[in-house]
Amino acid sequence: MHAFDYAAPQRLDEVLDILHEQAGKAKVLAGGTDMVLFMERGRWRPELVIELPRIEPFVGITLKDHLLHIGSRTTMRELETCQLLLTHAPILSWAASEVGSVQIRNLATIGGNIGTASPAGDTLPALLALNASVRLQSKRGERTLPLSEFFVGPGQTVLNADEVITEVLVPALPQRTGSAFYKLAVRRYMDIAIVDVAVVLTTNEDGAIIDARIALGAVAPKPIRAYEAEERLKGNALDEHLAEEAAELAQRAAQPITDQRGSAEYRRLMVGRLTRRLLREAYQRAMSDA
Amino acid sequence: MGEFRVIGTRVPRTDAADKVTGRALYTADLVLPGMIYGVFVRSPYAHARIKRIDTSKAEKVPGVVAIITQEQLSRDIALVIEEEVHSAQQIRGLFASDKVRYYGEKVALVGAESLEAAKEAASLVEVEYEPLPPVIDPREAVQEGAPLVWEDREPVIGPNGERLFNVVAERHHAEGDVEQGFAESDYVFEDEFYVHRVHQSYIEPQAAIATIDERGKITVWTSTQGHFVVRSNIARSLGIPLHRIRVIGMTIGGGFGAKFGGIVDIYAVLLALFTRRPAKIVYTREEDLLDARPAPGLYIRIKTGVKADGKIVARSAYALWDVGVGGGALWATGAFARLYNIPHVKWDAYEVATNTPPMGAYRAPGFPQVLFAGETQLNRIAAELGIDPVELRLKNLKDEPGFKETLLKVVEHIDWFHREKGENEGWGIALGHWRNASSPAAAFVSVHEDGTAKVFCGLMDLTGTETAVTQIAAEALGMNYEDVTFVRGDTDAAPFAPASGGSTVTFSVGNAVKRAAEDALRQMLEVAAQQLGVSVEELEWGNKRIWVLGEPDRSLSYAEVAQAALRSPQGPIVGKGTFGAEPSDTNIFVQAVKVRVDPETGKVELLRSIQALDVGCAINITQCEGQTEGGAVQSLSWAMMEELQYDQNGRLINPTFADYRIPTACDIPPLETILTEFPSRHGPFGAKGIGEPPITAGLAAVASAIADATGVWMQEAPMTPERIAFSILPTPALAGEGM
Repeated sequence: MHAFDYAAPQRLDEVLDILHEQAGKAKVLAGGTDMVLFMERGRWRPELVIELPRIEPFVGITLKDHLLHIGSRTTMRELETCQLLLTHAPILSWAASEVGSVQIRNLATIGGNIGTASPAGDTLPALLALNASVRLQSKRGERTLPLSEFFVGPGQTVLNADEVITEVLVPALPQRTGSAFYKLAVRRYMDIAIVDVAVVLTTNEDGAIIDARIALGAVAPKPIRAYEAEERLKGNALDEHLAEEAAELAQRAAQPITDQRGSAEYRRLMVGRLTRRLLREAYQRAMSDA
Repeated sequence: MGEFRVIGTRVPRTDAADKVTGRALYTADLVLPGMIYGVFVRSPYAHARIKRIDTSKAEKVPGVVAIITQEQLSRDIALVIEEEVHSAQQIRGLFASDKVRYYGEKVALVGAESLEAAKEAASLVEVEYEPLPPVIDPREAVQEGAPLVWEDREPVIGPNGERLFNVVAERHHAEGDVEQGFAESDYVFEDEFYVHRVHQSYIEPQAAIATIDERGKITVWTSTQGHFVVRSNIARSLGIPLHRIRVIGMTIGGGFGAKFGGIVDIYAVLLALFTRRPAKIVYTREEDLLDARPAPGLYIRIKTGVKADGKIVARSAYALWDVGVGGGALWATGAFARLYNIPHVKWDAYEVATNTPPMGAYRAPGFPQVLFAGETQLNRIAAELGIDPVELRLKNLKDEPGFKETLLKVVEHIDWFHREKGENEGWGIALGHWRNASSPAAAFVSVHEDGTAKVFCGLMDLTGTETAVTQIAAEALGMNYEDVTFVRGDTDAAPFAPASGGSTVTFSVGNAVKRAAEDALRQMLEVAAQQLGVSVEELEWGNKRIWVLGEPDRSLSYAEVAQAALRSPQGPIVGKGTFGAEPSDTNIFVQAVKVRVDPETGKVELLRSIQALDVGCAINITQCEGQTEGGAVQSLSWAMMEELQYDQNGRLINPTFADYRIPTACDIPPLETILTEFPSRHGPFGAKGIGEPPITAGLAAVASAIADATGVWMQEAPMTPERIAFSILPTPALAGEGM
């Protein structure tokens, strides 16, 4: 690994100051589970590594006005075990529980998973399906972006060099909402997804879907939403035919490649079958969520 | 066997405390004064001509001490690798010179003051290549027009008169007349199987350190299964007499057949010779996956003729072993026919060169691949004939000690004939086997003046064999396990020992140790007879005492005898034992698995794995169970996920443990392990070699369980979710599933 300087600011304004001064030369360190590997392999060669402090807004999970505020330095293990999340946005907990091992989840953070912007980042489809936003701060000010506008491509985001992700904002799921998440991988744990699928469905009292979000991981240059499939679902009760149609539309949204983890054909096939399966699951949960 | 005091117990391993406390020293832990670090320059092509190597930029990196390419080596120097298990010998250049023949092949070696400088310099060695089309699949390699891995190889003639290209060796075997056998059969089944290459995936990567002193004596510290074979390989590769090479085997973090040397040790010696400084080479995981000695792949077509009642009449096989740029796989081909009474057997096996790394041994070399085919096909035959797979085997199994009994133990444990399964669930059962190697070995057993003892020999302990032979010595001497110390000697100190592979150690070294202990005991009895004024025949012994038959009061402790020996013409009690090429036994292994298959994703969940092994005599029950479970898990892993994935350009696309998967505990079901004991007439206290057989049946058991769950017979391993999903008919189909 190359030689670099290291800073451990203790306050948010210090973090923003350093980022402002060192923009372009610095990288922010949270859990380091991706970053250390990238640096070891020479993919990242920052002159300065800034470790984020374990203080607010970087840590903590709170619910204010139906909005979950999740500090970007919150670990996967905290997401996995947080009762508030399990109540209001369970798929995020489920997705987090699929990342690496317990040891990795004790270090890896939600901000890191977002910042790395891997097409196969497991929490990302869950966050997209939950309609999450990210709060980005810099010395120049702050902005809040829907997560769907944050990713550009593999490892690429709209984050500016002087900005840091401080919080992830997740709307608490409304009533009559069901969600489902599945990570397809060869190994039960410690594996990288072949396909990730996340589904959130909200129904009205009659069982008609009034809101639907389907998000896919590892099947495009970035985690994506299957908007056409979502639109097709709205206004209807889910039956086999509709699940089938939506699954097919989700397949069309996917642009998978063939790599060491799976062929494009398999990924496309799985997007369809898993979407169909998760729609059924999420719908059933929505119907029983009075 | 109730009279044993040490054999058949669960004593803790001799090395347990050192390993648990982190005190055990591995090769990578050693740092010598003035040591330099070696880093290889590797080929980025699977097949290319080397036009030019320019080291000038690399030489300028501060700290660089040496850069070695084939050009700098004399013609007498070549890589000689002898593998005990395969009895195979390979001779190649130490570095690629005219051509590179696999992705990651060594082109040059850089030695520098620091690892960082060596890496930097290695990245600056400029090699100009002219890429050539590679051949990766043995099925393609034998076709006319395929790129030739070795240009001067003439094609050979196959069993049907066809020309087979890229064949580097062949072997044929026939008993009876298979054609007549097939004609006499009621049904003939023919199936093809394909097994991808896998890596042994030991946890400690390859590592070696070498020094040379002013008198020219070379010392090597390395992670190896056999320091004597490492010594011999270095001697023959570099033309150095054996007495000038001392090899010290360090604690080993797994080998499974891939640590017989020739991967890093010879290169560390070379670097020490060039620089006259200690030199260290430690592989990264990526290097290990790229350039070690993974198991050979196999394409096999297997044909079986049976009577309507399931009696096997004839079996034949046509095998193409994917040996990369190595060799040594052929002899395993016959494994499919060993367990059964089959009047007519024939096999034709070919080693096919491909642009992939040289093959090496992997636990029961070749047997998992061959038995995947042989045993899966038997289960398919059973299913087609409507005969239970256990019944089919009972009809055909040879009448050898332990064969049927061990199978029936599993049947009884599961209640096989009333086995239950839920939706998408299935059961599979398969047999495996191995005949342990019988290898030359020698040992000394000394009795100390206080009546305790030590075993001294040169065995390399991979699996707990130090513990096993210590138990053997204690039992033979009439001592407790705690009374005996094991001392491992390096190649300068210890008498010859075989490399630890092929399930040889407990059997061969165990016999040598037992004989040494018996020799020491005989010496003690002679001294005691003299002291007690009786003949040796009148003496009884046990529990560290010797007494006169029927007069237990007329006795001497071992301490008293050992001290008396020092004052007598006998001198110190030192027993010697040797073992050579002596007979050994085939032992049977049985594995049954239950799976649940997700028919939409192809994901397989292992629900149960039951394995039974005839160990002959369990010297250490815990270790016998551990060996059985370890092998079973490796076969499950191979069945489900392991594969070195080479793309069409021959580039390894999964050279990390993130993408070359081995299972975690979450992928493996609780292991239900059964040991049977049908004593060997040749092994110490009846023990048989047990390391290899537990890996031999799992692939077929899993394939058969998947078939039982889905109706689909998988014929390619590993059986990944993707392969399974595409093999299962897409019902119900999505509109987009026509692809």
